[in-house]
Amino acid sequence: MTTDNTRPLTLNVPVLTRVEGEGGLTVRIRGTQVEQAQLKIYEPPRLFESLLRGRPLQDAPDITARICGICPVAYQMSAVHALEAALEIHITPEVRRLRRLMYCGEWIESHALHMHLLQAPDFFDEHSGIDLAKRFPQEVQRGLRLKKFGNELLEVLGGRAIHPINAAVGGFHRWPDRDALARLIPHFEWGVTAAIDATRWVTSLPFPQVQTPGELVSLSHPDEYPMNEGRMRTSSGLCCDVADYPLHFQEVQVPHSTALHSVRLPDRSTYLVGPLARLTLSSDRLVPEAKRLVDELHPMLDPANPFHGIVARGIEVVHAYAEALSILRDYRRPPGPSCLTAEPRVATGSAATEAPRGTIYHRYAIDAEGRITDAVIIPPTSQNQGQIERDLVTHLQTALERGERDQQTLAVQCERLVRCYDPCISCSTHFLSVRWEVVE
Amino acid sequence: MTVGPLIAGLGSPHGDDRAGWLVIDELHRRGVAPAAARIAHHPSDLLDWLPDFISPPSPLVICDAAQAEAGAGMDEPGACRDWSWPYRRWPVNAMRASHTLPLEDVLQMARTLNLLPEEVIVWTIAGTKFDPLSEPQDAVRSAAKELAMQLLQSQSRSD
Repeated sequence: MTTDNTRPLTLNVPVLTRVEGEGGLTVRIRGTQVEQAQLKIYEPPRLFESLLRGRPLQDAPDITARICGICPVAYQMSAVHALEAALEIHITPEVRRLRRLMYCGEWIESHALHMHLLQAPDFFDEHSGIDLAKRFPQEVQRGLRLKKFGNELLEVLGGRAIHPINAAVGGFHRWPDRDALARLIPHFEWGVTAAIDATRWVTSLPFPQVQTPGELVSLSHPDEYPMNEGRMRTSSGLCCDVADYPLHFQEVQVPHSTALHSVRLPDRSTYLVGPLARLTLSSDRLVPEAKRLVDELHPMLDPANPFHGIVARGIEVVHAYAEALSILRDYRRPPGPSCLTAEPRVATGSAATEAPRGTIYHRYAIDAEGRITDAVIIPPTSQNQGQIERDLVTHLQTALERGERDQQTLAVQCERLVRCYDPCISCSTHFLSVRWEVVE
Repeated sequence: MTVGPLIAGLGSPHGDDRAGWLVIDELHRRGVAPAAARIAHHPSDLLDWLPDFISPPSPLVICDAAQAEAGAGMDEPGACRDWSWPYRRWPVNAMRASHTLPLEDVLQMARTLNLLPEEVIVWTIAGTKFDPLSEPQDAVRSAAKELAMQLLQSQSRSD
């Protein structure tokens, strides 16, 4: 439907699929000016932080894993790291490597899913991954196979692919089976090459010319691509200890959403977490296979274009496969216990790690009996929500200035932009509907 | 590579929703290889398994719980029936969740990618109690056991 911009109109466009989460989007346009875009999260708060209070700290990994079916590792590991910081447990190098291996599995399965089934269909005006598979059966099948080995890795390490149960404060409940990990090596050798091919494929997609520059935020580590540890770094020059996170970032309530928004302090500005931020801030710490690919694709990679997030995800899949392969090849069942323990004490601890879709921050206080007395969990989509709204305004305004007035077309563009961020809307969703308000 | 029929039991640990898993448990107890009868937590697990599965002429068999529904041959807990896919009407209201593909979409994707055998049979066992972590009803347990026996018999007939 093409509308006359002098005529007030409210249009509801139902059902945005292919996002993780449930919410709505209201866009208010006055004449040719986009006044507001609000990402509305209307599902009830899930109250995980309250649920954790009073529980033994050992319960935290399994409870926090339940926050999300796509990135349970990042949630449970952030909890584990924060509680280890509180207890001053220093994990062994073997445990640390295995934890990075878990992150690799999670990044692979989440990114491969998003690239091939959630976002890629948008570039071909297809409604679903099934429709895309009719046009690109080999590419989609390769994507599913890439995802599969990420799941299998998690299954071996965590006992199961979804909501793994082997992570513990201090290490793992048991060492993973060496033979089971070794059996994955040929698949991960294939995966490195296949992920490079998949990334080259997504780089060839017809990207919309969109510019939504913003402050980029991710963990940063001197020696490694950021996954499980590091300092908070931003594209504006901040580099701070994770313990100082509350001095620079704050969660705020907004009237239109049951989810909190996170803002940068002191000016309460929006910012972006996720693959584009990580890649921009830490590309020099990628493994050689991924670094070479960045060098090859660099002229086409624009961190200010959110649609290029699909390329960043591809590069991270290459990194994850290559790093995982290295760990798998080296793995020998370590001597000694798989889990370190410490006497409980009154303490607080915080940690941030990188979920596939961006930084997660956790902070816990515990008492002398080892019970959690306070918990703060800030997921990546909370941190990206403000930026998504800001980018929607920019994107729509540009489209309106180009003379695009068809609301159906604009709605599709909104949906596609939202999908670029791979939002996990409060980590449980079914659809997002777009509600238009056009006023004089 | 797994040669032969693949039997997948869909389910969760929540009451009668365990029906598909119970079928697989029974098949394992009766000697069916783990690779040929598998417990699925999500329909999309099938997309992981099917590429490694050569079936002709054996079918893909899926066992799942379904909400008991009057008039659909599934009035009572434990009522069991088969559906040949693609069916005109899905026997239950498929759960649509963003974190996983529903069975119908998984089968469509698998067909698009030429991963499906010619014959796909979905067996449903009706249930009425799906409370978190509750035990399945006796009628559902019995139905799962009977279905496992039936699948074994039809497999031995085709051997």
